[in-house]
Amino acid sequence: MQRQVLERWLSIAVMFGLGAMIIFKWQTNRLNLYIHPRYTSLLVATAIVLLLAALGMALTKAPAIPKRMLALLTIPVAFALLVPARPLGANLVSGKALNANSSDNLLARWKTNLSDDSKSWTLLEWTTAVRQSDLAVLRDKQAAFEGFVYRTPDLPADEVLVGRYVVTCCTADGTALSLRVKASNGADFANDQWVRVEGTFVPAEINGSIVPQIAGTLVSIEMPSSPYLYP
Amino acid sequence: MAVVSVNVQSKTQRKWLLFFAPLIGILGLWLASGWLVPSNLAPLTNKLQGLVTTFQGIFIEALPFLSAGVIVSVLIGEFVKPQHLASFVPQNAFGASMFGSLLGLLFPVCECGAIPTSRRLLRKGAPAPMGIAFALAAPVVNPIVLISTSIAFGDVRWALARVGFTIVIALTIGLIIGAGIKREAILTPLSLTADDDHDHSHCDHDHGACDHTHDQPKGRLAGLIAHGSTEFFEMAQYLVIGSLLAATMQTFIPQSALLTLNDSSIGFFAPLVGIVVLMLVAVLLSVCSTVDAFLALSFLGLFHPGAVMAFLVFGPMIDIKSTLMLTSTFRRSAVVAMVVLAALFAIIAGLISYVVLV
Repeated sequence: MQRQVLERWLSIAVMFGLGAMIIFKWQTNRLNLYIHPRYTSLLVATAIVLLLAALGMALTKAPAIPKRMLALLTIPVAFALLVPARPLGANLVSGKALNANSSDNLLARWKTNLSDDSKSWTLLEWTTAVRQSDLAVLRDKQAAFEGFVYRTPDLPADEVLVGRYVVTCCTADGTALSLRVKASNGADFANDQWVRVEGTFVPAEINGSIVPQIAGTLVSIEMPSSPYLYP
Repeated sequence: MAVVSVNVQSKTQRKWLLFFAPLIGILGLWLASGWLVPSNLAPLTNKLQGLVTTFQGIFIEALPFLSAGVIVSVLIGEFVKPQHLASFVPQNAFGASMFGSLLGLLFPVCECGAIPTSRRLLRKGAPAPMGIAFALAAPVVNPIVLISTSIAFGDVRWALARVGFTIVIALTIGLIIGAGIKREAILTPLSLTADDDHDHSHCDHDHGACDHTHDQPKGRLAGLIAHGSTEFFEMAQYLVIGSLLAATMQTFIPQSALLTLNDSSIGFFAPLVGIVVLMLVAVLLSVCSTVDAFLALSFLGLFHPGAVMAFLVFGPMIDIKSTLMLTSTFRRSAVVAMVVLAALFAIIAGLISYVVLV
């Protein structure tokens, strides 16, 4: 009998935990690490339903949930409690960056018109510009965009890749974009550090081919409240 | 004899699983938490934290749709009587299957919601072909997906073709698997349990005998909460496993590897390769059908329209989480048949679209 009571309260705790997890992530502005902001209100409504369900389970004599289900549903709650919330970053780029060819086509769908002021361009707009126009036309345009630092093994010490994910509905479909940046202080920044790139567009010649690149400096910043870009 | 030995084997397997799964889980959780993890394991911690972010993305995004499905299912359970269902559902297999594949227009649910609803209908005595066709078609054949697909592609023909193919495929599979066969052969015991007022669904089949003392919940609301919470946990457990698998694959198999496969294919089989690759991507991503049109759009241009159509048709029917959820309602052999047939028909739909749309 004792055990049944315990299992019943555990069931209620897990249901409550799921609802509380969403409310907590929403309140601490972390829900957008996982999903497109257009689903925020839907999720808050869901969280309220789950919390009400937990309350209902507590007030009525709802039966205990079988242990295996409870154990499995504890996983997302345990993740929320124990694993530091982190946006997609340098750690997954290798899995989530599309090859050059494909991002070409992705971009063609995502963004078409760019403003004249290149200082207002995000990384998504920069990548679009690079694909759409002649690199010579972009030369010396001013850049001021944000992203996280990551590197590939072949990069010289003063060069980094500044990347950002584009998310269409949730992190499952995140696609990494990046631009090469040559900065005198490039070596000072660890992978995943968020930076603001300030510089100009200067294509570089590497191994005989012209590669888009920004030359300038990196300024360390806090992670933006919305770490992803939305097409 | 064979049956007995299989049972014995699965029992030892289960014991091992019960021992090792929590152990691996705790180890993974510790590594992901980054707490006192030695620095030479830091890259693994990084990967695992990315995995958790991807998992939470899929899981959190599916939760509203799963909850909506459970609410619809519980309301059907409460307000629809088996005799109502019998009076307007055609009893012949073709009619039932057709009815099932169109019923989604009334219940706007995605795959996470369609399966609990399907099971509830089956327990109310719905014919098996109807249950199968509904589970497969409802994620696409519903107003929300029609609208989101039209908006994403800016062309209502894409939405109509998607819905058309889905109806034909679900109808056919409903007939092939469900017609002329005993319900017992394809449905799990739980979806066979007659759904009357005294509901025992919370006596889970894995839980052994239903031994807890039955404090009959007083009042309708109490009953709704008891049924709803049990069904929520039952479906959500598959969502957790499915999201974990999908997130693991996404973390360790680069998406670009699949896409490179597509780029390198040439010649006669090129359209087929594109179709199969995007179907694999659909399974891997396990994104909800109400939102996948925006994603599919981003593949257009990179893949031929036939492959994108196959993605749009196959993804909502079969992905990691929905396949697991299907096993709650249908026997394993029936689920395997559904997966194989759906894949086959989606390829055909893709090839037809390739010829018509290119």
